[in-house]
Amino acid sequence: MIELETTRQEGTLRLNLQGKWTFAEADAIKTQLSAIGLEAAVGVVVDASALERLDVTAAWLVYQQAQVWQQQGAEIRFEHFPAEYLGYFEKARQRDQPVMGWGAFLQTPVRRLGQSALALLATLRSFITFFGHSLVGLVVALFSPSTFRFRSVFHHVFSTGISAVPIVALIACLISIVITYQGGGQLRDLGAEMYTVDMVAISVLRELGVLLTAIMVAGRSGSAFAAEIGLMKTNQEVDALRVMGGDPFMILVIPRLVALVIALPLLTILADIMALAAAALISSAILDISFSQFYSRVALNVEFRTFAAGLIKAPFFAVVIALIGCWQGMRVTGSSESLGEHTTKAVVDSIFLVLLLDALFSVLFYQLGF
Amino acid sequence: METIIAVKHLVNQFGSQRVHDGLDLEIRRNEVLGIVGGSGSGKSVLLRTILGLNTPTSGEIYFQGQELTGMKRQELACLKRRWGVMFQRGALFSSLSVADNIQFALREFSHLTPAECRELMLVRLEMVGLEAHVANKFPSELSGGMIKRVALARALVLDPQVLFLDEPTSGLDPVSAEEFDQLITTLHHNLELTVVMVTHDLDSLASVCERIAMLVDKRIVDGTLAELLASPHPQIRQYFSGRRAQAIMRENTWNGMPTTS
Repeated sequence: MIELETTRQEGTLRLNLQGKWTFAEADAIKTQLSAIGLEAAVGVVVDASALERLDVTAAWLVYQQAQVWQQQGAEIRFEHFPAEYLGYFEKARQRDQPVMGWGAFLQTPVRRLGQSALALLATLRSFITFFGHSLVGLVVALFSPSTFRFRSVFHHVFSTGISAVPIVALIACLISIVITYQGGGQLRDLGAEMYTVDMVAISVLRELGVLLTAIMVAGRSGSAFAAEIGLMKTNQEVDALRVMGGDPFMILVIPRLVALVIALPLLTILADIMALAAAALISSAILDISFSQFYSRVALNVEFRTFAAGLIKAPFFAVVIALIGCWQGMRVTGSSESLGEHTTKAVVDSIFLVLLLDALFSVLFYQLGF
Repeated sequence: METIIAVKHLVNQFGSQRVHDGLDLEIRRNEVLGIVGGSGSGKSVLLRTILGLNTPTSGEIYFQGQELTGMKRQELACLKRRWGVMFQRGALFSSLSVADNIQFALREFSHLTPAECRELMLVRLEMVGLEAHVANKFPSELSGGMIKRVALARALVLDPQVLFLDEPTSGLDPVSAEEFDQLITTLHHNLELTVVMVTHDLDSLASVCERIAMLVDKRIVDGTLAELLASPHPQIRQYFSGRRAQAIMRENTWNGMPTTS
């Protein structure tokens, strides 16, 4: 509890502080002090001799009010007030300069535009450097297989490929069910339900199988790569590797890259098979197309190159996902916030680039008549 | 002297491993208590148990006569605000600036205006001997010693009655470590703080701590440094018989403190 006794005498206002003045009483202290008017006083004496307890926050609130009175022209005197506190307050006040200059907010838009353009260039440059580094690493690994870490590759094939099998199989089935239902319903009205088979087979084999698998893997493994490497960076594990003469590219990036290039095409094949199986099942259930009809229709109308056109994109997507994931991981600095930011970027950027690459492939295949 | 925190019959067991077995500890008001013990003797578990981060297998912990382990969560949170904790590696929030790290509790638990919070934050920075411009930096931009100081400023911001320090001088160079010891002594005197520190630093033990609690055989043996040095217990003798310990003890004999030899 705080108690405050004020006496006025010959132009002097005397404050006698009593009780326990602590952080918990901050509100009461503020209201009580600010209620005191100077009136005619030209001097204020703050007497802390009767206090049981005075902590820093409470003392500072008293000091702050004293500053206000001083500005109103009163002379302040502290009696039995802890000198150490006053020392801290004086120094802190002197040192308090305006911080976080307004400059940052007042920058002209032009300047900000320029800065973000430069930042973009720096990012691009960083990625190109990283890409080059990885290529060099691959070439080195090709010519001196002893530096290549097979065990690490197997580990990552398992974690990015084999453990992704259930979810990839499931989404392949689901998307194929959706297409068969939607397309089959429409085509049956035209009496052309047989074409449902062509539609599902071609769209899944050419585009959807590989694309959905790549997006799934980008979400699963791209983020994992970024987070793993990012955490190793904040833990200085990457530095430790470097100091021991290890090349982080050879040890961390290349195995992940190679593993994903192996895993993603295999997952794509799996997705294709599962999607066709699901389509066959749904077709027989709702469109009265028997399994043998389905099979002969696919064998007749779907060429091998349709399947190849989808599969050939998988390694390219894998490279994009692995490189973006590892690169974002390497860009993590210090804080946990940065880790989150770069993990998010790894996923968003790799999905974006996978879709962009897919569009480019579509144009290319069209031009080639593939 | 009045007891501020009392630990009674504390038992901590993890699996088949018993870390504390009927441990008793008293922390007295306005003292600086050092908790020591070899690696793996359960210092950190003891500290974590007192702080409520670890639920003991059995035993009670009293703060100013109130039993903590059976207390409601909200009451406990209120009591905890009278404690300041400095973690070994600072545990600063890495996404907040130094200023926001220190102001966090002020903003959260008081009705002070942002300007007042900022001023009070600067006072704390001044108290731990840091320049005002440090306030705008982020934890990842600070050196080890600065992180410790900022962590101390954050621990002090709610004007705690008890300050817990987990290895305050570990990872600091000798000069910084000594400065830090002095800082703790100064703050202890100026703020009437009760300080509990877990430490491996024999210099800190000799220069800062008024009383030492040593974890031996899953229990506490406490006393002044001189009393512990005079103890016949083999583990205590071993702890203080290393060459480094001996050198520091010699120095302190010169300062008028008796030693065993």
